[in-house]
Amino acid sequence: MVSIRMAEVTDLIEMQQCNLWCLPENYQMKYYFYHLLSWPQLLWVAEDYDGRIVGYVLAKMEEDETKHPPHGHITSLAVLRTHRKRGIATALMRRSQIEMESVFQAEYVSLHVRKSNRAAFHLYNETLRYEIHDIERGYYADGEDAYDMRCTFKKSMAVNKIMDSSEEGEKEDNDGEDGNCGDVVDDDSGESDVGEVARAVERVQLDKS
Amino acid sequence: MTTTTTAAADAAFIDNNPQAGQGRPLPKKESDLFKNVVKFYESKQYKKGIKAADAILKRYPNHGETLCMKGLIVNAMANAAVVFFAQQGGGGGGDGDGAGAGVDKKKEAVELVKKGLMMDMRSHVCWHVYGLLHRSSQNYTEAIKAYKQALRIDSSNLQILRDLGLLQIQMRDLHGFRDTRLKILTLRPNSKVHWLTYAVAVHVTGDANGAVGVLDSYMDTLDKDCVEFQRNFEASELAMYKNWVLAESTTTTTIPPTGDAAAASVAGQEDNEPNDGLGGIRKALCHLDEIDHIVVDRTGFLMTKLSYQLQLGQFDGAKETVSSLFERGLTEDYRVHGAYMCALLKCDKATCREVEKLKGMSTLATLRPLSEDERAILLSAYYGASGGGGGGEEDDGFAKASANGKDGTINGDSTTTMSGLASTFPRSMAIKRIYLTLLSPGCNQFKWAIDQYCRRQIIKGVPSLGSDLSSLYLVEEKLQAGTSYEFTRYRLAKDPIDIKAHAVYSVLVELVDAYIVSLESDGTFPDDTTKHPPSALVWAWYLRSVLYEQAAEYGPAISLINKCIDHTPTAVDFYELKSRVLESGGDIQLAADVVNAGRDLDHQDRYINNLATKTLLRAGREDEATKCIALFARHEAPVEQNLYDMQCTWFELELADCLRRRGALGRSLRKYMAVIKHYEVFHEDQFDFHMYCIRKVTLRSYCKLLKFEDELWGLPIYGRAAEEIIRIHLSLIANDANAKTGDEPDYSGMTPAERKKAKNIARKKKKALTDGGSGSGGGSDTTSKNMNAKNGAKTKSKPHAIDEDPEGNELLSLDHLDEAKKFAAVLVRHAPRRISAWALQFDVSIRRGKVLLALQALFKMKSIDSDDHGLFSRIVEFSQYMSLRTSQSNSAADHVLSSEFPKLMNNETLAGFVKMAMEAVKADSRSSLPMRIAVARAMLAANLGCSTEAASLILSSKLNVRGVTVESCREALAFMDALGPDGNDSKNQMMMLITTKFPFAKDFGK
Repeated sequence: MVSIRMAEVTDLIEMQQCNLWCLPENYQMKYYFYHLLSWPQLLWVAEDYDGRIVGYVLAKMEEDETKHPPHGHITSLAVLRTHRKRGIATALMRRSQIEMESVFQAEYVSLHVRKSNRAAFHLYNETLRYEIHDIERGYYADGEDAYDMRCTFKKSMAVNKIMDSSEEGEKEDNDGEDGNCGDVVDDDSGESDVGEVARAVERVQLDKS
Repeated sequence: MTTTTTAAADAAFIDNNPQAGQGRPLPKKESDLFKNVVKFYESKQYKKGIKAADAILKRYPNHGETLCMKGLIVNAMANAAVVFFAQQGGGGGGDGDGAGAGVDKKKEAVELVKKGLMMDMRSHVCWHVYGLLHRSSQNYTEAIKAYKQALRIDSSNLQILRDLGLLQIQMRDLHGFRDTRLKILTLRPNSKVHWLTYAVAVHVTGDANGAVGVLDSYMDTLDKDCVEFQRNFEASELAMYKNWVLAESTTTTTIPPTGDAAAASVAGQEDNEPNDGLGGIRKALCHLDEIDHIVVDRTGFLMTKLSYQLQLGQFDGAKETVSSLFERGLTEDYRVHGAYMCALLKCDKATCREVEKLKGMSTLATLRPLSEDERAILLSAYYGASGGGGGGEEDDGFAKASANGKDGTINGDSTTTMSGLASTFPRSMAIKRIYLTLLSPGCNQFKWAIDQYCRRQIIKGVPSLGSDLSSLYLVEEKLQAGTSYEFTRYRLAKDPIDIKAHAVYSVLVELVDAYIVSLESDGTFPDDTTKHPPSALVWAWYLRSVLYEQAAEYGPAISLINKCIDHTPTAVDFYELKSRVLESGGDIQLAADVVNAGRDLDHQDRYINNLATKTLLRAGREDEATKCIALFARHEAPVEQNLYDMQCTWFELELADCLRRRGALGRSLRKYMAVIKHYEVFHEDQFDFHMYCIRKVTLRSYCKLLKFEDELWGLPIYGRAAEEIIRIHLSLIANDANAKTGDEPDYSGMTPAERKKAKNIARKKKKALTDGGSGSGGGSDTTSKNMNAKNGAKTKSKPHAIDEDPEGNELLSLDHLDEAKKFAAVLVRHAPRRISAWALQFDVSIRRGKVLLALQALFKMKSIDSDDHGLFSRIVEFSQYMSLRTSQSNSAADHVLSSEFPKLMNNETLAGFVKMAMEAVKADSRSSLPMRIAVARAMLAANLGCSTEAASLILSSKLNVRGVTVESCREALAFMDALGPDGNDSKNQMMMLITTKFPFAKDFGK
């Protein structure tokens, strides 16, 4: 089994490697830094017995504060193929969602998933109760469409969910699914968001002068 | 950096210094133009900026500030050109304006700024721009100097102070940073950002008390109904940050004697000594109560509280906190379980701290052996009364469980007989898994529990079950703390020989063999009536195959995995295992074919694609590998460029290894250097976050980032690349000994004057060499990225040089010893607990004739692992080296050597030392193959016995010892080869042993 814990800065390099082993959507290290240093509570990792990272969830809050209500977004979720069928993806997702709601008062969480990725779709739709909100045509680099999926947090439900750590997912994961999904970012590796970091820095400087 | 110039614009006409540059102050028209230059620069309208600057320069060609601003704009344009060029994949930009033009532009920029500065040395604007220019080419030291010069002229220029502070924290001039931020805070005391930055600045200098004081002062400036005192993310982060700093603070002066009683009564536990160093933690724990209502990070809050409570010995409180964490859903976090066990067993502070640092699935129960009483306490907490107790009760438990099994419920939940945590959180996998570590492997209850555990996972078909179980192969190890105090810790058995001898391994083998028999006959598990689909049998075979693999029994492992594949030829996992076993079993080519076949089953799966790539590379099939990984790379750039951009270090390392094995050392070096460059970029990445994190108030994470960046060069992937780079350079020295121009002479025997002279000559030689090498000057400069706040990541390292030297000739032309020295120095500094780093430091030092450094490296190695075979070989090497050189000098170094080195040899002669090692090897039937080879070599070096005797040390192992791998066997063969005709007989015997041990071995003995 694995240990599910909140990610630290020291995990990011391994998270990036894990991502490169699992997904075609990859990001530069700075993008991982950016997530962790903006929303430290939303990044979770699955650690194998020897401390190796075998799964992670990289999540964030909607950055545009004018967009109401506040909501979270799953940037990327991956579990190494060798560690599937253990409910790791479910456990990671639940943890990040709980923190989204309790730390950042998110009302819902969104994510993108490949239309053809049935295993992931099953996890989000059946196990985690996400619903299709929209379809984004040609979202992925190879031209594939993405489902824009959302899960609205209902306070009462969330409390129950807290008690279901990995086991429920474990049962439902029996048919070999894994929830790997990753956002596409413009250019390479989310420069748009990293650019956002830089712009934020600029703003601070302007504010002060 | 964009905004620098708002202040600069003002200064251009306010400053009436009579010694100012020509044409200052500018007339109204020009000074307006100058303001526009600044504006255009900031809005990146570079062409317009140049135009406006030129208009000023037309009338005042020597106006320093205008020249500087123009230079800054030209520089920005040059950077933009480089980025544009790189984004075109290094190919046809179309307009003929490429990286080359960028370089020319950069030169022009430098000239303009320098000229401007010369014209107006008394202008802070010019110095500021000069600093910015250095900063944009990452020459931070020079930039800092320039900023400081600018501040000498205008000491309260906020923008320059900010820029200076940024570089100071980036360069870790911590005290300088603190002083700069204090100045800024003094100038603008109303800004939250300045208060927080100053607090962090004080904190990072190590002054926790001071930082608390700053934070308190800041809070005092606020109204009580201000948002900082309400429940929101920023307030919460700030409060938790302060709490963290408080815990680091000391209380020597702040708690009056009377306070002790109060503190003790709050603590309510044993720890009431005032000087136990826990004052800060006590205060922090109280502070947690104060901030309880504003903290939104409940997980962080509880984890922090738990840590404090344990350190203060407040075990009841700690248990409550654990309950809250479990209720929050953190039952799968093993650190919480580790802490819980510490609380249950009332562990001392040192143990609590040790447990806190454990990784993965380790807890107190896997850290050290538990006493029977301790087991009983933990079992009752986790599994209630029925789980606890001694041998008799355990048998009861087992009987009860077996009875359940016979009723057919054995696959379902074993929790019916359980209470404690297991019944409160029936769905927690961690709690079920921890149960296995609480039981003594000898008892029946353990067998029952692991039986349940395995059945369940086999039915589900969990591929990682075998690796999961391998973490139960714990062996006790006696450790020495200081001189007298001995303690016991668990260590994980990893060598097949040790695994095979482990009690848990035997239990598993017995269980799984019984499953297979039973499932093969009627599809049920032993003593159970439930029929399972054939997949259960297949996964039982799979698990058994993994167990064979763990014991290095490759033949049977392959037979079983073949059965799995015959049954389900579509399961990718089976091909993965087969490939892995073939690789360890000696047939890398077939391993690559097998995993490639597995890859063909699922083209959507990047994991198997990567694995195929990796195995192909290990099989030396570079072209196939590159085609394979290209399937998942994006295609707007060449594949290797794309993987470089994505910082795909694993691939670069594997490719570099592949190239190295093939002898393509230049290309190999380039790939290793690519990894080094990624780490340089990771280091650079922190730049933008210095201010960002303050604004976000994620100060705890930010401080951890700083620490992480400081330790970056000690990380394993960097280390792997750096070590290989060192090895390649060392091998190049050895290979072309006659062509070595840059080798350093042996300075140790010279007088100081001679040494100085010799060093000067060496330095000149080296300089000539690097200058000749098409101006690369050390590799990293060629690709240096121009990172600045404005276009941040855009300009990160896109090495356009990547296509200019595909064969890596530049790297090959570097001074090998110098390069090796450079990397070895980084490794021993940042990874001082890694024995391989010191081994390389030794290898480099001895080639440089630095005997004391070499000696130090040996002592370091010894302190890490005195049984290391690499250490042994190097002691022998050093001894031989010394015997050749002692006659020539009697310096102070030699005094140290003659008094210290014998300690490494146990005060024996070389022959005596080797003989001792020989006897030690003979006495331990498991002593490792690499050690045997090392001792055999040493025997010949010390003229101890004949070559047959030396070889027999290896042959007598029968390969049933530690450290038997394809590589070590190859090395053993190489040793026998080197014996010449005398070794033929030994070699034949060795080959026979190898073919038995590695039934798939290919290419041996060639």
